[in-house]
Amino acid sequence: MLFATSCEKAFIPDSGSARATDVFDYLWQQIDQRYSMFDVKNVDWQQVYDTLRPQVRNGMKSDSLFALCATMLNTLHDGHVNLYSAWDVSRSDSVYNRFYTDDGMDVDVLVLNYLGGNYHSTGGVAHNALCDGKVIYMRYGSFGSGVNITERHLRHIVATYPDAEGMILDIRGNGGGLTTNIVNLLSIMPSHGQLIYNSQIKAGPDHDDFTPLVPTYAPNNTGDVYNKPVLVLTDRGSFSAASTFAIATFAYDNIRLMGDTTGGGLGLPAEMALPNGWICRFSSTRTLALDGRNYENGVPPDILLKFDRENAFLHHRDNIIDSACSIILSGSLNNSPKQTF
Amino acid sequence: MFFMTLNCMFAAASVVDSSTHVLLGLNGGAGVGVYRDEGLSPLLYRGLEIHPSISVEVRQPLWRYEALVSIDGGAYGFTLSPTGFHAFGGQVSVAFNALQQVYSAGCWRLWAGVGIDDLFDIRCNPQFENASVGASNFARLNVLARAEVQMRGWLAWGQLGFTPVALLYRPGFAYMPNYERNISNFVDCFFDQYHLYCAAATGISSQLGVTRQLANGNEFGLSYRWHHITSRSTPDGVTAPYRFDQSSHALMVHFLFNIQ
Repeated sequence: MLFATSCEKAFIPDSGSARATDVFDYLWQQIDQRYSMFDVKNVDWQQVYDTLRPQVRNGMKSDSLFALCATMLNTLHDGHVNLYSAWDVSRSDSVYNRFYTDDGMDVDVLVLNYLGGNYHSTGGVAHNALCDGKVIYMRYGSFGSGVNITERHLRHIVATYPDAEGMILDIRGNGGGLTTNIVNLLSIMPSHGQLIYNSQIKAGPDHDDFTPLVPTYAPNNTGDVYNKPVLVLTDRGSFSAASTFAIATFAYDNIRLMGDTTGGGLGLPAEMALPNGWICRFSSTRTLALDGRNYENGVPPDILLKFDRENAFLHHRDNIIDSACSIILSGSLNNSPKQTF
Repeated sequence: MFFMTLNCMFAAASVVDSSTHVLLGLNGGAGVGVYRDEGLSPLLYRGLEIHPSISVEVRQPLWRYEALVSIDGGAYGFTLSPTGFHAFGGQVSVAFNALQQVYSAGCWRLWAGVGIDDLFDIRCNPQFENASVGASNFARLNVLARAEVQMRGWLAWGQLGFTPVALLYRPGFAYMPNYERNISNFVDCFFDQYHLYCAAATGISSQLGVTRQLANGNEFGLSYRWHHITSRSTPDGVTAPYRFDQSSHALMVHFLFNIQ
């Protein structure tokens, strides 16, 4: 009995050591089995292993192993893929560089000349009226957990500007957050219970092993419906939940996307530990739009308009917001093309 | 069902004979637990656990019956990290045991019997974004053996248990509930990825204790308890769920009140 009381090591199998080769192999295998975006990333994962694995040696320095593992993960070009150690975090160079080189707004211009010093803040949304009160401008900077928007907030915002003929919802540079805020943000938009997107979860180790589609539907309307024109401004910084929100707008006739293609990142990130205690973050699900497509690499806008940085610098104007106001006031939104399915 | 069985045990005890004793037990303990759920993490987690439980024992000269409800909880860190708790877990179990005295000589008694129990286990690692919760259910058939030495108001005892067969309910490949934040979809798909399967030799337990028996029939005692449970599944998460192993060492205190 004394023998039995201290023998859990005899009963719990060894899961492998923290040697460099074990760590690298474990990371490669787990991504191979659990990563959900191989179909759109155009990467030969086996070739990545064959190329990098010979550089792994037991006894190599931790930072060298970290760099090799990071190189492996960066071939996925996914902003939801990171490697965390006690001293560093890896990220996809291409995704983050694209955010900074293709940025779609100037925050100073936006705050000084559009929100102004008298802007209001409701449920994480900074808002004010433009064009003599005829256009509601809403700046939603994050879908994160600290700024949960609700239907009550949205109704308050709409009621604050009774003369508005439409709405601009600016989610440029919005890095994402909770998917629950996606349906919250749509709570006052016209709903007939329509499908807004489908999700799938990895259900097995093969790259195409997914669960059946898990649908997400438009939230039911519990009060007055906002059916005036809505322009959602996006850019390469509109990532993760912001991109998922963008595809959700496909199901609403009064909403258009304007600006630049989003940053993508429609997979829900999950984390796992490696045998040496490092943490790897990876995309574990995929989100499919109404057309069945996976817009992981970015959601294209209905109205493509690049940010004019020179205009912003010289004249302190945001050409995208100005154009959005013109479209709303001209009443031509319904005539502008919308992605159809 | 637990209380129906308790009622049956009380009823049976009251009509059998005057040598039947019913004891209500309040038990508690603390100790160290170790576990690995390969679906959540390859790391071994170790931490502190508490083990409160309530029991009812019906003792007859040649038979003893026990109903036991336990609620265990623990906070764990993984073994490669020097500080901090990274995971939390808990178990709720309901057990019914029946033992028959099979040998008696002088102050020695040996008992053998069977038991059934249902153990629900849940583990959460809030450190991990999204995929951080795994729950399991073990419905187990146990074989029990117990030895006692009676010494003038003191009882030294030891009990061994072995689970030859169990029915397990374990999450599958994706630990799916963690990904779904829409509550209606959560309910619909919670069990989609779970596996129900039978496994052999899924657990072993041992307990060594000493009990002081009072003149009024009440008892109090100390014991050391160790148990190990395993899901014994192949670790691919698809043909069978990822493997789960858990061992627990605890120092227990028992207070038994003679209620009949």
